[in-house]
Amino acid sequence: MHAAKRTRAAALVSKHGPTCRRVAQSLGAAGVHVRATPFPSELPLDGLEDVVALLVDLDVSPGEPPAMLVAEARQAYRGVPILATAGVDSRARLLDALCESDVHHVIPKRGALTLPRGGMPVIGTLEGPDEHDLFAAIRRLLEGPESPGVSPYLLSGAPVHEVSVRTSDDKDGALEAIIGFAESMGLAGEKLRRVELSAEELLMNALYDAPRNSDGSPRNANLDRRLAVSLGSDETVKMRYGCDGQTLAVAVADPFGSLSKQAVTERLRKVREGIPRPNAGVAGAGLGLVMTYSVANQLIFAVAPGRLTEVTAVLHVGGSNRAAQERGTAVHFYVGGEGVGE
Amino acid sequence: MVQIDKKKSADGTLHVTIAGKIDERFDPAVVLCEARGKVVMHLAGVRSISSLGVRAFEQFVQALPEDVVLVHISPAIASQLTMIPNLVGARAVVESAKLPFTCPACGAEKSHSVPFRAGASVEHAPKCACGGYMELDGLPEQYLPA
Repeated sequence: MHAAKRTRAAALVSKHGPTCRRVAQSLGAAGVHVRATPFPSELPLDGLEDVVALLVDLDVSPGEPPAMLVAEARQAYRGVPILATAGVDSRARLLDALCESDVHHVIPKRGALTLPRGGMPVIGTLEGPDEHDLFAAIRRLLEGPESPGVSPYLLSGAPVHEVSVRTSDDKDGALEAIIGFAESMGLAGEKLRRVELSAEELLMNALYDAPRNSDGSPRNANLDRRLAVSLGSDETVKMRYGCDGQTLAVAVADPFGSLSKQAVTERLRKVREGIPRPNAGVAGAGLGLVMTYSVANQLIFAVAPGRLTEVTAVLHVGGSNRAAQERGTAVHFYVGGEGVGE
Repeated sequence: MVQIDKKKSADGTLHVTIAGKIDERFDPAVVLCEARGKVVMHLAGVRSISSLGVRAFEQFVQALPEDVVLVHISPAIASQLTMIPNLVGARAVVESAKLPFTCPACGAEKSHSVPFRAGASVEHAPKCACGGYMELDGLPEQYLPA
């Protein structure tokens, strides 16, 4: 007689039918059983064991600050990763959830506000969060380092290219490589600009903001960005990229593991609060992460503190530029042994 | 790599055309040494701008001696101006943006210049060769003021 296999589970707070269906399908495909309730006050859900994720649909109470909604749900499932989704005022509210609470994953719903010709905003059909985004997110939470880099975000079998970077010249070469790759697929205009911007800002971060001295102090962060830098032979940065015809992903991994969620949210707060000016001086302008956020459809941060940081930008390049922009930006932050690539 | 061309018109206005990529290596000295009065910058050819390029561009505009007019700004510049409304300060006027449009009927694409103001992508949408009106290939708030 076989011992009963323990089923992993997730709790979902939502009253939006399409969201409930998409979450159930996507997580179910990853082997996670989902139970939903429209009210955070009904958590924890009876009989739900081995809960590996808690999903909160912020639209259950669009007038309530996201941090309060999340805090109420958190009381029932301490220590469980929280994913937030929203369709109403999604960009602002998901950033609030990411920056003001311990939410590490935010995914906007598809089909949110659309602006038809004439400029009057109407609420289109809210479809719930993207199934592929959900599936990749939950798999990475569950399976850890088995699928590092860009592979989780592309169709299986999509070729992945890798470039090693240690110097500023290497960085220029890596940029040329990914731009050439994108151009060879016929990408141009805004699609090409998004690819170039994402890759460049990730590489600059890896070369200048990430490196640490042996005592943990920043090594290159205050350097004039016009000056060339060179990392040690054991400090190689790796850029991986690939495309499956619809999605292009670029991941830059450095061996320092110095990025924190706080550092990310400090920068992303600028999106909500308005960016007054670029930082003065010759070091970083303080805009790279915000600019990458503005063009990417997913931003994934994975950190093994002191050992590895990998930042991945996922860009939808199939269809129109407008369709890509309408998808918004999901953000995921994995820490420690939780879904960090080797 | 960025290309900078300049031409002085009969009324003394310096017309500057910037094309390519603006990054930390952007050096506008060739413009600053000649800029004495009004400067009109033609920016349709700026295909991309990095975060460090944004700062370099801001410093460049601030260093110009008199009123500056930006015309036909590219999507790369437009997206930064909507993200950072004070990027070019009060001395620079942004007149127009050259943005990507697509035809919902036949799928044709083209770049078209519209005034840099809210609603302009609808009011000034170009007509497609097939007869239909084209639509902005992007969210208006990404490229035009709210």
